[in-house]
Amino acid sequence: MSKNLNPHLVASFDQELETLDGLLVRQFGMVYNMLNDAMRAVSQFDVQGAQEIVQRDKEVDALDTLIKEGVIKILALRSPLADDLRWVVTIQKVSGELERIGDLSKNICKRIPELARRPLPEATSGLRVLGFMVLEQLESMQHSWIDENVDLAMKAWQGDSAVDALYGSMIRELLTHMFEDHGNITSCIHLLFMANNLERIGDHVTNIAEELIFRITGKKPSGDRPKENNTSLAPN
Amino acid sequence: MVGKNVNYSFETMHLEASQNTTPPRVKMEAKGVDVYYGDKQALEKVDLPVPLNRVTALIGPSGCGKSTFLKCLNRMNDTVVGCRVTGSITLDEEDIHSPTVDVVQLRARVGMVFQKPNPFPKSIYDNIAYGPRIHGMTRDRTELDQIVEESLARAGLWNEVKDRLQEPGTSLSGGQQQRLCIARAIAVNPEVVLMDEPCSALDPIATARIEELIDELCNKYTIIIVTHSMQQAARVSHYTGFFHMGELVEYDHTEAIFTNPQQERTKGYVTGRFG
Ligand SMILES: Nc1ncnc2c1ncn2[C@@H]1O[C@H](COP(=O)(O)OP(=O)(O)OP(=O)(O)O)[C@@H](O)[C@H]1O
Ligand SMILES: [Mg+2]
Repeated sequence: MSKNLNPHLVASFDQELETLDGLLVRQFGMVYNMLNDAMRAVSQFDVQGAQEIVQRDKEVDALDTLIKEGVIKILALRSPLADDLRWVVTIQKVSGELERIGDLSKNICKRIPELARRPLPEATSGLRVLGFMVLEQLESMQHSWIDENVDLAMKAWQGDSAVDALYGSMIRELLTHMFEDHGNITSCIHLLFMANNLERIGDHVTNIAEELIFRITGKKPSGDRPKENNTSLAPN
Repeated sequence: MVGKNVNYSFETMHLEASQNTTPPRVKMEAKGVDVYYGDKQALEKVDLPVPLNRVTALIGPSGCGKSTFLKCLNRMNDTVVGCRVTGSITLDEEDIHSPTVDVVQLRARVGMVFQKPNPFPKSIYDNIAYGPRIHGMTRDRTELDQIVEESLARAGLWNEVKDRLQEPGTSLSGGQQQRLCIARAIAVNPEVVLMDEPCSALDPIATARIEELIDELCNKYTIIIVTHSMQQAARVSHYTGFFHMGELVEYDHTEAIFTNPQQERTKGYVTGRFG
């Protein structure tokens, strides 16, 4: 039950909204586990684990499809308005963002076999910390959604300079590893792309924050959005 | 475009794109309107501007005073025994209660369409010709024929009735009768058209026709529509006022009322959520 809203006269409408929101929360959990396990597989150079995680992306996509069907059904049959309309529409958008986070987690896993051919544990530690930070953001965003916590979402939306700073220093560190030994280049390039995937996941979490703020307040947040990282080597 | 002191929204952008108009001027305006039926107060301190060439929708639960308010705008309440209206209501900035205003003339300028189609027990032709005749708008039969045809055409009914103009208005279907009443209302060339739940007895196709008609008519007239269908208000109107227990609780762009109402009572009503 949404904590800020009174129940509907038509109880089945409430149930449908709860079901839909429940699916989204499930998708949040699925994507969180996917990324969490992906980061574990990265640190252990676990090729088999990585392949298993790649398969899970299909479940995330299936859930996204299910959610979108539910959204269309509610739009068509209930004609939601005001808070209900914003709730339903943002569920659809957030589900799309989560689906993209699933894709990016999958991309991280797909590089693990390459990385495992020449593991560079010391070069991987930065990526693990970055992954940890992004996972925290994702978890906090899931709580913000469930608690309808605008303040928390606003903080997430304003961005986390620690992630940006770490991403920047990681790139410099990887460059050093590449200069030290040309044999490290392939692994470092993969690590760079993985770091970029994590940074993109952070952007999607920011988008979710924006959607949640709109859902609750009816307005998109204004002011400065977090800056794109200017140390990024890959074009976004 | 940027820099003008207008709060841009999809609504205003859409209007500018489709009609290329600047923000509308106020055609009618209610200020501090109270209405009493005997001792019972039906409306309290209603302030509502009605923008020119726009559709304004009035929504709210049964008995909240929508019809009462509508009837104030062309002084139909004058004929209700025990009904007292105070406050100011202007049409083109002139008070409609001023002694210089002729009520018959006012009702020609501010026409009304009711919930139940109420054609006169006369031919289709005479239903339309009645108003222009009593207002002496035409000099001869040819001019009258022309007004009848034009009004029926604008109401989207001409093709369906042009071969049966002498048949009684009551022989038409409900949806056709409602369009006949709209044709009758616009035959006297009003400036404002008041519609009180004009589609409540109509099927979805007849309703869509009337809504399409409202869309066309608002280029020429100012329209105020009372409706119980939130979707209808959302579809046809540019501005929406929400009434509750005799009060105008919220008035805003229709888009704002249905996507992000500011008042709890409006929110509860449009979402069907009650505490
Ligand atoms: N002629 C009348 N005499 C006494 N009271 C009246 C009269 N007409 C309306 N009322 C009262 O005024 C209040 C507002 O009525 P009104 O008809 O304006 O409501 P409404 O919003 O149009 O409702 P509905 O959606 O049911 O048409 C109601 O409490 C009603 O009982
Ligand atoms: Mg009424």
